[in-house]
Amino acid sequence: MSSMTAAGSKLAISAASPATFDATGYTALTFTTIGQVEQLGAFGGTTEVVNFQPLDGVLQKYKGPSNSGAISPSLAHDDQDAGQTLLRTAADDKSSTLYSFRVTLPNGARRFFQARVFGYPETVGAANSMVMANPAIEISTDVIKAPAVA
Amino acid sequence: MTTKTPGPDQTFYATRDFKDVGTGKAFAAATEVIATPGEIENYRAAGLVTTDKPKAA
Repeated sequence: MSSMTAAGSKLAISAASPATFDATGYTALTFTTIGQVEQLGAFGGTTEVVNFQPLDGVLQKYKGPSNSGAISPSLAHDDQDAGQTLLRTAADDKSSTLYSFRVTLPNGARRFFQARVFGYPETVGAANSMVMANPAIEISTDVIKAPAVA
Repeated sequence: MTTKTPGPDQTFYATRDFKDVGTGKAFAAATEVIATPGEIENYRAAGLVTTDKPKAA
């Protein structure tokens, strides 16, 4: 059984773009790890269902456009963290520049994609909670799945 | 995003205190930053390093 907990997963960002949009291209990039991540949530491609109801039959379902989704990680805000700082830069970027991201699972398997960051809202809660941030990372490419580096 | 890779003869200085949890490195403001070109590229994009030499206090 190769199931695993999420503990040890990592999120990293790079300002550079890969030469090729595959595992080789992304692996060649240098990523900066984003610190103080509490959780990543769901991400990855889904395909829109296009329905057609004929007059004389059952509802037919077709595959429409695909969407790689978004990540809205929960972070404990840290002004000095280099990865978080680059993420804030991406959020403040007024252009449509794509940034590269890498998610590393506890077993070393990797997920690569490019995305734009559409905001970096901060949450200041009760006195017994951390100041948190929930950046909106909208994935704009396919999510490339790669095994752990040998 | 494509940025020019920093040259090997360039010296970079931290614009403020920061740390990189991935590499375990930490840098104090106005000190020289020793890192790989890829790390420097990300730090520079984040505004954490500059080639401008800090003025003496």
